[in-house]
Amino acid sequence: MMFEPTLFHYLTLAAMTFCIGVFGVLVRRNAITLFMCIELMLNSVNLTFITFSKYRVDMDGHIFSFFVMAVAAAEAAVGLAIILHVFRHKRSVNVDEANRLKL
Amino acid sequence: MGFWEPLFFWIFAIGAVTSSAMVVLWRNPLYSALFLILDFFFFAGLYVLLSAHFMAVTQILVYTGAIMVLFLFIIMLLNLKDDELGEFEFRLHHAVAAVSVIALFAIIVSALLPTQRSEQLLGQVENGRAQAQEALRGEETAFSSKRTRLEGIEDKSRRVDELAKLEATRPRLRVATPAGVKPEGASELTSKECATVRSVDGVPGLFQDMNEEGLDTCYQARVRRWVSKDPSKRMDPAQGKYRRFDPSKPVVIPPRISGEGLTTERGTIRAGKPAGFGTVQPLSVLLINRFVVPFELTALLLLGAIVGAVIIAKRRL
Repeated sequence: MMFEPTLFHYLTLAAMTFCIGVFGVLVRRNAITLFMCIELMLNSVNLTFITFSKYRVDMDGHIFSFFVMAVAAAEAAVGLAIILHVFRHKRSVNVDEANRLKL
Repeated sequence: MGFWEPLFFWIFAIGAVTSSAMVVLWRNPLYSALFLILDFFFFAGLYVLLSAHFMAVTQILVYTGAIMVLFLFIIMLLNLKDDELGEFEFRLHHAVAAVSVIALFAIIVSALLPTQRSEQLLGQVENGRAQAQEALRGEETAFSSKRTRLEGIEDKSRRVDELAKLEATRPRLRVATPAGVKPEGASELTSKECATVRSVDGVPGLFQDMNEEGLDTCYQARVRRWVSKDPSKRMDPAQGKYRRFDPSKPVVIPPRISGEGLTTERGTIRAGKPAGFGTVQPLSVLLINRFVVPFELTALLLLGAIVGAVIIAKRRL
């Protein structure tokens, strides 16, 4: 039956959400939204890992997505601190205005 | 597969795609964050459908519980007004981004298309294998009758000679690849398709017969091969895939632990309940046995992130 989810369906879904995330990173200028788009991309990668994990009956994919989650947490902490810092100096979270390494 | 699993898959899939589109399209980051939380819930549902129960729970706890709360906190703290967010204006790079993203999606899907076809190809392969085995059975009957006839020859040297000659023509199963067998009505498969078709470690098909129980049985069989006492039956998990710390020691991963327990070189392991695919126990065992160093490095990374966040965000140290 064509409605039954298979490997193809899960991977296409992951590709779709990943592409939406890429589009957001390319188009949006708000730093916080940009970060959220990155989280979205990380999540779709997680979905790919877990899909292949089931397909191969191997739990290593779970471990990898576990690590991705930990890295995403670290990234969110540091990234939001940077956004806060930029906002204090520029009064804006627009990434176009933060165009110098030195504030 | 049944009725409910496809239904929930489509609910979660459509929900995930629309809510992630909303994350990108909404101008106010507060709404984006709320839609992202919804998106993470849909993803957690998909993880449950993929038998990754622990990961589904972690997704909700870590992502929606911790990371997104941090995002919301920062959004509230900055308290951006509408005029600070700026009006949307169409620029050329938006169109370029849209076109390139669609191209990226097309490339990925074109790479995935062979997996779609492999479902039907698998059916053909199974069919072909059955036919080849049928043919082999016929050939073997002919072979054995011929052999009994030759064994009746009086002259010893001639008999040995004839038997040796016959032995060279002993029938073998000729199916090595799906391309080798041509069941009726099946088109010839390319080698690339054969690579997609091959079943992985005895799991036929993609998600064929992959209900919870079948998946778990398959997983247990795989783990049992890792810990098998018979070295000829032992499938080395390090073989070509993982690097171990000490190659002289086998990596021990407990299989389904039954009532009598599992005896390893470190003692007998007992558990109240069997360890299933996607649950906490095998994950923790993997994490502590084979992925210790990445685990420790992640801890180090998180520590670095804490210190870094404090240093960056603090006004004066």
